[in-house]
Order: sequence, then structure tokens, then C-alpha cells
Amino acid sequence: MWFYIRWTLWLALLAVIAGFLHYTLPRNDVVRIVQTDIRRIDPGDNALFWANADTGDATGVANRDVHFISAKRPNDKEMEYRNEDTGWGWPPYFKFNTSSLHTKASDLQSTRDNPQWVAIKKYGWRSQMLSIFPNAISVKPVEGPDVRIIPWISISILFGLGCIWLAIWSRWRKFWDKRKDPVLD
Amino acid sequence: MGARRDRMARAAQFGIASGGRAGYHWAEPATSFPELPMAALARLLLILFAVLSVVYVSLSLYSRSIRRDKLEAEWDGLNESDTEAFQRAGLEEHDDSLFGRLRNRAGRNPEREEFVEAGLQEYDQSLRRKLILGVYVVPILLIGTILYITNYN
Repeated sequence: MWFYIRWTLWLALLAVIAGFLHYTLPRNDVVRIVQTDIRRIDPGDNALFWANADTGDATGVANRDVHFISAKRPNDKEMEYRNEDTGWGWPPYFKFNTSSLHTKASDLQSTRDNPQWVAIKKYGWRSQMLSIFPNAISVKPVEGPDVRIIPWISISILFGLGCIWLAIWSRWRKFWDKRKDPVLD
Repeated sequence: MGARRDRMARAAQFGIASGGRAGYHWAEPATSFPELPMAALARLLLILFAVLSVVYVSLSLYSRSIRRDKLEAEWDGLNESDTEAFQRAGLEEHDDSLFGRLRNRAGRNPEREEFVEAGLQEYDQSLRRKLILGVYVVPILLIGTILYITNYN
């Protein structure tokens, strides 16, 4: 009984951490940009998934305009990205160049007949049910639809986090063993 | 920024309640502090400073305790079966029993204390000790690098 409760709690914690990392770390999509536009957005219950970076403009207003990038994936499915400043806030991408990115993405638009494939680095999730969009960080042209992009940044961040965790955990372990062993002896 | 949003929401309601026009631009209530430009940056730096200070203090204490352990181990290793050391330390005879060894190690030995204190003072002035300041420096450099790569690359 306790076994199952304990493992359920551990798995839940693990799922939260994994979800957080999956949301926050940068990932790459290879897509073809269909259009870029600006829509008025009123974040509601999903406000958590919208950046509201204080990069000079008002933050307390009820609604605002958000840049969007609409795209098609190589498998012909649709994908949409928002394009928002993250500013000095979380996640720490320190992105202030929304307008420039909008220009770049517009410049890389292409048609179905003459596709220009691009790699979009983004963080976040697309969910149609919650009306949430991943935030595009950068756009760069690539050779073709099946180019392989190795996520070095995510790998090194995960590696670093693993090292920090291991360092703390092993020390904690040692400390704990030292405290309890004399009692057992 | 939750607090600000709340205040602004209240300000709007107050405006409507007092017969004013609810609008995009309204005068801030006199009681509120004006928002500083780059408030977000100030907030980030404040939070960063607080978090890094906790890390810095913990790491300093940890590193010092490790240094102390090493110095104690060094002394104990050097003098483990050295009768002279026991005599120098003021113990009347070389008590090689477990109790004697423990007593020698347990901090009643003034020379051992002196040795450890001297070593710790040396450590306090060492480069190794100052490297812990990297806790503050590295994240700031990292922020600068990410900022540059994201926006100007």
C-alpha cells in the first residue's frame, strides 16, 4: 500500500519536473512559414502560458497584440507559434527582439510549390484546447525538411542540472549515512 | 507582476465607481509609487541577488567545513602514532587506547586547534576562497551571453 503511494508521489514529482523542463528548454522545429500576423489576445485562464514581459510597455492592460507565426510541418500538419518578448522574466531567454524576429520570419515566408524550410527554435507547448502557443526564439533557414538539428543547448543544460543534482545528492547521502550509522552500530 | 495588476484593476474600478471614465490611460492614484523604467530588470537583479546570496553563503560554509575536515585529517594522519606529538600536545603519556585517540582528535588538543585555525586563515586569503565569488559573476556573464545570442546574432 505505502509502496504504491510513495511511488505515485515520486512519479508525480518526476512528471512535474520533466514537464517543466520540457516546457522551458528550447526545442527546434523544421517548418515552412505560411504567414506572420498580429492578433489581439486577451489572456484568461491560460495567462500562465503567455509572456507578459515588462519591456517598456504597460503590463496591467487587459489585452494586447501578439505577433504570430503560422507554419506547416514537413508532414503537412499545421503549427502556430507566438512571438513574444520574454524580457527579463521567466524563462530566461532574454528575448527583446520580437519585432525583428517578425521581420525575419516574414522574410522567410514561402509557398507550397516553392518551399523554404526554416528551423524555428521555440519553447512551450501548442495546445488547441487551452489556446496556448510555443514562443518562437529564433528563425533560420535550413537545407530541407529532414535536416537534423542536435539540441546542444538543451543537452548541456540537462547535463549541468544532472551534475548539480548528483553533487548535492551524493553529499546529502554521505551526510545522512554518517548521522545514522553510529546508531545502527 | 501580480501586485501591479491588482492595483491597476482596483484603480480602474475606483475610477468607474467615482464616476470617472474607465479608459486605457488613467491617472495613477496618488498613493501608489510610480513604476520605475526597467522595473523588470530591477526585479530580476533583486531576485537573482537574493538567490545567489543564499547559494554563496551555503557554498562558503560548506567549503570551509570541508577545509576544516581536511586540516584535521592532515593533523591526525601526521600524528596518529607519534608519541612526541601526544607529549607536545600536553598529554602526559602516549595513550594509544581508542579513548586516547578520540580525545586527541576531539578538539582538546590546543596544537591541533592552532594548526587547523592557521590553515583556515590561510584558506580565507586563498584564491580558492575567492573563486566562490564566481557564484555572482558566472550568472551575470551567462545573462549577457544569452542576451547577445538571442537578440543580436
